[in-house]
Amino acid sequence: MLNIKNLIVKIGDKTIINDLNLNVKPGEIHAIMGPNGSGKSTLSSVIAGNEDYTISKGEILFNGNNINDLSPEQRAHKGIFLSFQYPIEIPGISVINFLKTSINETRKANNLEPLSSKDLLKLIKEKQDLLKIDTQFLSRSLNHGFSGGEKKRNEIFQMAMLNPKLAILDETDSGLDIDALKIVANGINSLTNSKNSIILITHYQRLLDYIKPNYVHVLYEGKIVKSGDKSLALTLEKKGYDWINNNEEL
Amino acid sequence: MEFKEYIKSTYEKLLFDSKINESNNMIKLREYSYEKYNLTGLPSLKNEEWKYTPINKFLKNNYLLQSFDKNEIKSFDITKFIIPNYNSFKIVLFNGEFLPKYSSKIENSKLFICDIKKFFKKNNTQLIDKNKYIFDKYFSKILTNKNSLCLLNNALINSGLYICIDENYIVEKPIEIINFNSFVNPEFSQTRNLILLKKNSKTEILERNISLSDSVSSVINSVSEINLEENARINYYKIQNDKINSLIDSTFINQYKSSVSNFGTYSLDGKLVRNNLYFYLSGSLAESNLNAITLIDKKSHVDHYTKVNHNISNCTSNQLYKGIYDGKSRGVFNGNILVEKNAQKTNAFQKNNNILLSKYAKIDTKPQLEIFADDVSCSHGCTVGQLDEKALFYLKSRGIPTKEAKALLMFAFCKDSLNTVNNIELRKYLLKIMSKKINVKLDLNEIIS
Repeated sequence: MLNIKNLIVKIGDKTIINDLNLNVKPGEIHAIMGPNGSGKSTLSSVIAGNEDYTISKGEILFNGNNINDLSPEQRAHKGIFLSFQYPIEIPGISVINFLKTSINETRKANNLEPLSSKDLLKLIKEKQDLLKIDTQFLSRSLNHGFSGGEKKRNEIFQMAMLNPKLAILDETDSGLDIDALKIVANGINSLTNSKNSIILITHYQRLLDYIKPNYVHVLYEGKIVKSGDKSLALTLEKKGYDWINNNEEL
Repeated sequence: MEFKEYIKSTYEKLLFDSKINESNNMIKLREYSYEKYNLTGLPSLKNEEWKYTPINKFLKNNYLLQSFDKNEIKSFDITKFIIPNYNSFKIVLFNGEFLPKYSSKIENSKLFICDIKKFFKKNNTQLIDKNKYIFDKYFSKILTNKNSLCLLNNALINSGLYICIDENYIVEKPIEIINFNSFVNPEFSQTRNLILLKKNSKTEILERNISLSDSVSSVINSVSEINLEENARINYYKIQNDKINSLIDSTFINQYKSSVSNFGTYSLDGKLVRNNLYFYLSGSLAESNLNAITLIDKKSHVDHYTKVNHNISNCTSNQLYKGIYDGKSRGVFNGNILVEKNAQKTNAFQKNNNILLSKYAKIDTKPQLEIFADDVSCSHGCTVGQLDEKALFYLKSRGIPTKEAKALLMFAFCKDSLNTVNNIELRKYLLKIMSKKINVKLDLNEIIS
């Protein structure tokens, strides 16, 4: 699915991602953990195609094709989805209009007919129940005045509507109370299958109580310094990131 | 011949004819206005109110003040230009001249529309006395002598409309004034409208300028006076998307007690467009709402000047001006609010937000408040920025291509101003021509819902 090889990303002279390698296969869930400033959000932005960052070395392969030079919308059309850590508030665009435009532009790029209003509403109905989203919510301005929890739920709702092959969830758990966390985690779980993959970016192992990753990676100074299974997250939770610093094995 | 000399000789010729055919009042008005005009001439950049729009340089070219070769219309298909589902009384003008033949027939004694020139004539017995009385009472009464282009219009008026709506009458559909322009030679034409809404009456007026020629560019100096009697209501929209001609539009609105006016100015094209909106709130509890969207590119120049005069207590005014500028276009917003000493309890607000899409586009914005009363609520503010890059990335990451993503953000930016257009068909039409302007196809019903 996703294969990142020797990726180096810089802003100015500063190296943010330093020779990173990552291989995500269909059906896998990978968790990426790491201290503040380790490059987690940059990595997710770079995979999604944010043009603020330039790749100075390495390549990102998606289903075998190099996507380094693709625009964010082209990547989205191929099935890459980024759930934003801080979803952007856009007053004046309703959630439903945004969803419709997003879905139909993606369908257009894949040579599919636009979804009829009836089919769209049917799909919405199905997915809104999953994330306990009120119908009124759909006519509100996109993320405008949403609570932290509503914003994150809206992100996963979009994910459900777009049905991506690869979803990168950037700190989807931050700012959620326990109930909201459960709703969001259940939503994510019900969207996983053997064909799609998820990269979870998180500070805490809390989310991993609900979503079971196949792999846990530790990102430190732009590099994956340790990979393991779910137990690595528990060790990190207990010992903190200092443990990585001091760990002689590294 | 210098343009100044040319204006003089045209005026003298016109006055000669006027003295034969027109009423004493009209002759006096032309004489007085020309003398006043001649003291200052066309406004220069030194005039603070014209600082960013060099109208005197622009008018240096040899524009004709009177047409000698008239473009005649033989057959004319208006259906090409109609707004879908916009059911209106169509008032068709050709180079400013009212053409009843192509206009909707109005068989209603409560709505009176005619060529304004009828009132200029000596001993015109064709007119109903009541309208003659109204004309004399309201014509050229609220113009400011400081605007020399209005004075020039007074001196040289050669076309326009008179509209009067009777007491308690609610006009059942919008009045759509379509001015088709097709000049043989570049002209500097002077048109004039007088509109009166009597007590408790209500109407919607849409004004459009459409160019039928694509080579001859003229300058239209249009002056309108609108009087709203007690409790009258008007929704007045102007769509300015004539890419050939330039327009200087001065509109004066006098409002009496409890009257409401909603003005929308939508400027989407034009070599040079200057809008002067003068509001006089003369009766308490009157309300004026001014909305505008400017969406221009290339070398278009759109200058908005507003002056809202709060002359009496308990009135409200709102100004919301949105501008999006691309290419080498240039925008100006010069908004003024004047609150007189006895205009206590005034609510006056003004907002001007702008987006520059290109590094060559430019906006000069100058909000001004002059307050002489001490118990008022007033505010003004302006912003200039670019499209939000983060929002753009967010939309793109959801598969929305750059052009469409930008368009969505632009429509979102204009939405509050667009939503003030009460007529849904007109709103759809505006969205349609705006989409065409930025070359996107989006589901418009979704955007306005």
